[in-house]
Amino acid sequence: MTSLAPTTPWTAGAKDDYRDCPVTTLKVDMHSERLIIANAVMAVVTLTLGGIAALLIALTRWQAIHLLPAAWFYRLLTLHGIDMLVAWIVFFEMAGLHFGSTVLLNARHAAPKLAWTGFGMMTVGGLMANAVVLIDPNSSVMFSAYVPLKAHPLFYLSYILFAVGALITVITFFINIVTAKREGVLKGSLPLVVFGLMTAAILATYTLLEGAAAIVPAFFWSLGILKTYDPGIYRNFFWGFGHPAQQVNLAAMVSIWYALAQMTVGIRPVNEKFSRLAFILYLFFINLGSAHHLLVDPGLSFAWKAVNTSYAMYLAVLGSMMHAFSIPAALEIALRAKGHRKGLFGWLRNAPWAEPGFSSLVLSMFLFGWIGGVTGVTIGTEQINMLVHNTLRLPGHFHATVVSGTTLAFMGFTYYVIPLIFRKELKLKSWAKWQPYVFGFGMLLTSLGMIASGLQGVARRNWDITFAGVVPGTVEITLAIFGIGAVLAVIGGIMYVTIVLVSILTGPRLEASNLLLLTGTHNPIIDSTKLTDHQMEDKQNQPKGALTLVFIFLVWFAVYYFTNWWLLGRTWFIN
Amino acid sequence: MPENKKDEEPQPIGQKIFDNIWLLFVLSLLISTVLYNVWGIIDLMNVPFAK
Amino acid sequence: MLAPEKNWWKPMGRLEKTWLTVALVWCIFLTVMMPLWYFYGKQNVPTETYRTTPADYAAKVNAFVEQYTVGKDEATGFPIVAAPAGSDIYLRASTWQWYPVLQLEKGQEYRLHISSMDLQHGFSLQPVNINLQVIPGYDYVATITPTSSGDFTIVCNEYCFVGHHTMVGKIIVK
Repeated sequence: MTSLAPTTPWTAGAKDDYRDCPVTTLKVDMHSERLIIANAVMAVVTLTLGGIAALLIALTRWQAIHLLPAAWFYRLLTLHGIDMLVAWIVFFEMAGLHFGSTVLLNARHAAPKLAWTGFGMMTVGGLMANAVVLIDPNSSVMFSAYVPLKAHPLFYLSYILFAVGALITVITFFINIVTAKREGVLKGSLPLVVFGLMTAAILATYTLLEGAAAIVPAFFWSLGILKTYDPGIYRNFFWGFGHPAQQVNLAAMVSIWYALAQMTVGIRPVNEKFSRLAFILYLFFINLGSAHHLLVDPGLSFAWKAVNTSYAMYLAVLGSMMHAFSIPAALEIALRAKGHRKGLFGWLRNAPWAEPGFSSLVLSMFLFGWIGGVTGVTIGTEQINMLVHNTLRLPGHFHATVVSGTTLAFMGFTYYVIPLIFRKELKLKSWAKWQPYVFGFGMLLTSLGMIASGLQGVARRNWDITFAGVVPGTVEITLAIFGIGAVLAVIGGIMYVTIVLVSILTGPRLEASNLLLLTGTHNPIIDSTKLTDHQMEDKQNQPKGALTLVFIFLVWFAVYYFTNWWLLGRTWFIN
Repeated sequence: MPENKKDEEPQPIGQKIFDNIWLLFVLSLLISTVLYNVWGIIDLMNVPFAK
Repeated sequence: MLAPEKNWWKPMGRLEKTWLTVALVWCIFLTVMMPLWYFYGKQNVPTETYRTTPADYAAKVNAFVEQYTVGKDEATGFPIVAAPAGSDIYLRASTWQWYPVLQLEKGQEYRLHISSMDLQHGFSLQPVNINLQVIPGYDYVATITPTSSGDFTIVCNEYCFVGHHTMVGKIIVK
């Protein structure tokens, strides 16, 4: 692999090399560069597989089209879950962990061999899972593989390989940080973005250990070595893996939000203590949300359900609400300091909406918070969950969080990874300008269509809802909205993959010369270092607009929440 | 801004706690495992047999 | 993305404190809603559960059907079973059917038992939209009172392999 910039050994006689990034002045360890590239490539490959499945599935649930036969629908639905929730997003996060523990700390990668082993296991596990599901008709068990549904032993083995590989990568993240501290490269606290990624890494450790606890016995059960496996216990451990995996996505996404905000607008965190406290609330309480999947399960007490589903008094939700103010507030202060002070929202109107990193940031925050977050907390309320469990409202919620939220933010961030790490010029820039909007709007319709269908009782993971009897015309409409939204989102996904492939496969290797892609030659990261304490505290720069936005959000939250209690009150009595 | 003076001040205890990776790691895993896994499985183990 | 200043532990600004307080109050309110509804609401998640085996549960279902059959459902050929108010009534989930067809009276209370013979299933009562998880080995008891009458559909909403979407049952409320 030829490198343009001259590389320098970390110490005399060392075998590894680094280069100096001309745009950010950060040191990039060549091991990190290669590891980030490898993980990013596998991320996009698995996203593409999952995206093809997504299109075919959506065109099947859109009753008017009803494309696939039943067996293929269930098979591709299994694949879609695995490729998106397990493969795409975790590969991207591993790239982020390598980036955060080395490049952002100006530190060397202290465990490249271990990291490559992890990557190898993840790749073998991910590809094997795809192969098993495509080849073995009995392995269409959905990503959740609920015991006593039994898949081929290789299905469970592929999960185990992937999870162990990811855990090894997470361990290298910690090795890098400890090494940087020990070698005096990291003095003082971690930068906020790295602190957030560290939160993700800690949550990922719990996630992957839980995955082992769920899947390893399932593997032996599929071989006949373990005679019985209580489904209730499986569900406890599986969702101890499955939901925290989403919290890893949340922590990583929020970290990327702070990064994108600094890269496109040049923010300074309003208050480090405030933001870090929010991440710590995630660390302590967010894994308890695994209980969301078990709220209408037999055998579990009211107290357990209430305490866990509320993330211990909703303290983890508080963490999210804190970031929901902190990031827009930082954007507002930075933009007001530049002179955009007209009215309550002049700063927002003058923000760089044409910059893909900014539009993906804002759309991701809005869709994640207003749709994903509000629906999540509401349907995670113990009693309200009876109206929701396993209806299409559930995928409606999590597509707003994982796809409109995390995936969209990751897509936006990729556009900067390409010039800065792949060291290729970003092509199809006009596509990149529009892609977040196309994808975001498509996913908005998808989520709304699913939620509206679920409110009418349409089941998830169901090939054909007409078997349930007379299906009201309104269901046909809402499923069509879901279908149309999905097609639009897939177009947005195709745009993303095309931009990425064309950029990395064509054209010469080129050192990046500009941070922003479309909105200027200034360097927002350098600008952020010039924001003075005085400017941050200046009365004219205070984030009243951001505060207004979060208050409006709270009103919307309350309306949605109370509507659901009202709906519950109208059903049969049950206890 | 008296930068030198600031740098000589000891780190606030809150900052030290927020910076302690291992403390955060252990508490995170402990709270999750006890409140969600252990308590949940105890509930399941206590389900009585049908009469 | 860059290193913070050496001592970054600073007091929060006025706007941060305002939002933090408001958000915390909302969180406390959310927390209180669940126990409040537990004590005062009429719709709560059932908790009564017993361990059972498919064989034992099937025996209970059959005894129940034998005792209270009042007719036969034309569509499925399954018995229509009507027990008096206050009774234990039984529903059996298996791939891919709900057995038997239950007949209830509006405004009366029943103890509905649900379990599975084989895989996990989802009890989804439509259009009432009440959803519960059905797990083999667990007899889940829901004390229900129908507040509307008519023919209601039970849709299975937990994926149970290739015939999943055909798994549809019926409850009649007079």
